[in-house]
Amino acid sequence: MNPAIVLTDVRRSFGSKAVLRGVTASALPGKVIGLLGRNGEGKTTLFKILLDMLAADSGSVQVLGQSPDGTGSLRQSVGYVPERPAFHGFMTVGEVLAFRSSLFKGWHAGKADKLVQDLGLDPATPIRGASKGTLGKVAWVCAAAHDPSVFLLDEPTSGLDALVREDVLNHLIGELHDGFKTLLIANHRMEELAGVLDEVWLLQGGVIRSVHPVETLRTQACRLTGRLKEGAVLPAGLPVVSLRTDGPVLELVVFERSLADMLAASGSFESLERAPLALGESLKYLLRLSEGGRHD
Amino acid sequence: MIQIDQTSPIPIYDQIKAGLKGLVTKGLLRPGDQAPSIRSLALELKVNPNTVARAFRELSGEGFLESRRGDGNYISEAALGQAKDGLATVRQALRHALLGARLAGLPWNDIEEVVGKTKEEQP
Repeated sequence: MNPAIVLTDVRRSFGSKAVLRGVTASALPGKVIGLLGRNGEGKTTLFKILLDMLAADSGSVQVLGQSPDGTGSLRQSVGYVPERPAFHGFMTVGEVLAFRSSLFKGWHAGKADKLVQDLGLDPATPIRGASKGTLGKVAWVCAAAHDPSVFLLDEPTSGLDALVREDVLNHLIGELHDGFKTLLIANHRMEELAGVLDEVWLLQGGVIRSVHPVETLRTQACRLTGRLKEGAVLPAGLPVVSLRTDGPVLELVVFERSLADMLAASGSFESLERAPLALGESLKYLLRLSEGGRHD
Repeated sequence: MIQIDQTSPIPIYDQIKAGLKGLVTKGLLRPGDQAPSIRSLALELKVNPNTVARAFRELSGEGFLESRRGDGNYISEAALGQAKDGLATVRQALRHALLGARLAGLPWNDIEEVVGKTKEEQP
């Protein structure tokens, strides 16, 4: 099966600031991927490159076998929800959708109508003065009505209240049920999407630092508490987060059983206790890993 | 219908399987009943439909569910017995966990506290 998204050594700078420094990753069709990274790590830049809205300085990008060529034709098969949806203020919701339908060959009027109904949108609502919730829902209809097989979602639920977030999540689950969709999602509330994610990509320092299957995080991530033996030191550069470095007792978060097993077998500890870690916590600690919260 | 715990280290598909078996044990679903659809269960639990599909596939493989030509999944005749057998396994696992806790030095009072707290969360 050919990957739906392939990124190879993608680089992009703004002036002297290198934001992407060689992003390499690929997503198999049907996978739901969470793009995890702190603010300013380049998530939005990566989305824009995947959408052919911004050119990479170097490297190669493929979405469904198509490379961005500056014409934007790739967007015909991609559904995009931007971080801050913006539409023409002088239009109504219905007019926005009619306008969008002229831009997409595969626009499916029946699907658009059904989404408008499911999400409780009124086509007569003017865009100017519309609530964030309304704009967020319109963005969803615009992203999904041409029935794309790849979705790029940049903070799709930011600023939306709990009920709208649930509507959006339900819609997303419906999309996953009805077709073979590949999703790349950046979300500051990643734990809300925990049930639908297949894997998490950690974007840090301009590269995808690590890829974590969510099943592995859920079942294997753990907190280790132990006492180092006299004179023993923890090897530098391990992919762990140190929660405590003062005193003789160490507290570490590890994200894979094999690493916990290795530490337990290393003979460096007097005793080492393992406690499971909730997925939401693991996702938070992964960000600490990207913060450089390593033990060195 | 069933509940899953997103913070648990137990895989979601295993939680879904256990939940459906629990419904049969409690008599809420009976042999011959139609199982909820993958779509409705995914929406209700806020999980990936593929995860529900995996749970259903495994339950079909175990003979707990049977599919009728393109008409969804049904609770099989064997399901009741299977769910009851499953209960015996759960009892045994609980017994092992308790023995482990005692070995580790956890006093009975603390164990009862854990039981009490869990009961409050999941009456």
